[in-house]
Amino acid sequence: MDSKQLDLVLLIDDDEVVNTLNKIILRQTGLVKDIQAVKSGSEGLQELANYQKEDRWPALIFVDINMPGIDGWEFIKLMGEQFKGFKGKSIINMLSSSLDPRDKEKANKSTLVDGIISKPLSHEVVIDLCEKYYDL
Amino acid sequence: MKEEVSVRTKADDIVDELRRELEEVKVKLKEKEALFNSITESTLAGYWIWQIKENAMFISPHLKAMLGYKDEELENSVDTINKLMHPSDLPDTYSLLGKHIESNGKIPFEIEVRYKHKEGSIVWVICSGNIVKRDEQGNPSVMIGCHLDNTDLKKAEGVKKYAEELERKNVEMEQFAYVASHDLQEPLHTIQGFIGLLSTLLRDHPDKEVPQYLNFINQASLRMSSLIKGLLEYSRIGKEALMSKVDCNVILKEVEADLDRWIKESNAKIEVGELPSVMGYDMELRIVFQNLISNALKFRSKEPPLIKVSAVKDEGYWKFSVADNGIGVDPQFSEKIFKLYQRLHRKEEYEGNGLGLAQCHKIVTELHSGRIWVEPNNARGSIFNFSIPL
Repeated sequence: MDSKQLDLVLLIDDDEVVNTLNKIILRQTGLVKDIQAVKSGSEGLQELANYQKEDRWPALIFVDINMPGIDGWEFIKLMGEQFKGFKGKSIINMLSSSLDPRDKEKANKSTLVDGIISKPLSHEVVIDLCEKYYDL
Repeated sequence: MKEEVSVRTKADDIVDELRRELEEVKVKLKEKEALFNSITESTLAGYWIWQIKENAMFISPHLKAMLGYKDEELENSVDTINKLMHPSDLPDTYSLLGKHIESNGKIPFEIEVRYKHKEGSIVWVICSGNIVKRDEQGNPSVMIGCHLDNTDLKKAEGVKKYAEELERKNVEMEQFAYVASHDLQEPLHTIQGFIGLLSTLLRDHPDKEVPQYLNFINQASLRMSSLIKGLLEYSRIGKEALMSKVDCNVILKEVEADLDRWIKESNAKIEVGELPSVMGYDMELRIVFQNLISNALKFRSKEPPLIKVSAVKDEGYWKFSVADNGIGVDPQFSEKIFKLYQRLHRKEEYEGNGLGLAQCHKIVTELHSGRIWVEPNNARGSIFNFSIPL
């Protein structure tokens, strides 16, 4: 494994095109080895359960706030309940289209969430996150 | 003679007695009538008396007046009622009247009906009546009823309903603007993302028009994004905000600090007089000052901008003014500029999404119950004024 790369990043967004776009951007930074994308909060929880069995864990998780069914904030809550102690292993960022002040405040207050990012995801944001949290 | 006298006296006595009683009865009747009239008058009621078998009807002058007629203008007859009651209300009225009589008064007669006023308007009336007299067989022979004018109440109900409806629509509209602008933002961001990817891929395309077109697409999407963002901000104004005592001097300092770079770049001079503290929404008042001062910087003439911010106390409110020496506002557009998405210049001349003054208008008028208007500045430029109640 290249030490200059994150092992795994998980994307959760109901819009497949957005997932594709974000995958490309992540890949283009060359900072991530494996990028997985799922289309709903429940698929996200399933995916995390699988990782846990394989003893892997995503270094970065990007969660869209506005999703049908389990939305981004509910996903965070469920994740906190179902995967105790994941904190410290993952950097979690919410993805938002509107940067609603209420979402910003929620993100600031949450102990589980590390930040909120305005869509679209950009190379710069990914590079900054890798530098800030993983010294890459 | 004596006897005669005494007889006459006795008869006189009886007559006198009867007279007195009659007088008393008359007085009592007058009192009762007066009481009845005063009750009917003061309760906006008129009354009718219906001789059922003869189908004759007396209609009180007040009932006629309720419909805009003088006593002599309307015949005392059932026909008058039939003619003046709203045709759609006649069947129900007669049906209920029939039930009242058939049930010998057990089913009450009270119904809300519409009448046509002489002037053509609708008069809402609560019509109720009772059997008051029966013939030897015990069948109802006379009914008396009254008419209560219900129009004002109906109107008030209508106005209240309308106000509630309007309130609901307003909330709906804001909700709509919020949801629409949020949801529109999503695909736009995806488009922008792919434009970015394509631009990188096609940067060195041999056909120079390819990167150029991509640049146009990018500019248009950025512009759309800014319009949507503006709409989103506009719909958010005043949500979850609380009124507090706001020191406008502090606001102005912060706004000046925010605009510092722009102020320096344009060589602007901003003179701020002594400003009051007002009861208001902090963030929103900041937006007002920020927008007005930004506009003064943006719409400048060839001279460096000179902006004067001041406040004077008037009867019941503070009047704030932001005066500039810029290009001014054509008086014919002095109302239009406060409306959503209204712009007076092409975007190539002056940037903007056409929402700044609409925001100011919403903040001043809706949130603070004030007024905002523009007037020409003496020599050149314009003065934007707004009032905030004390």
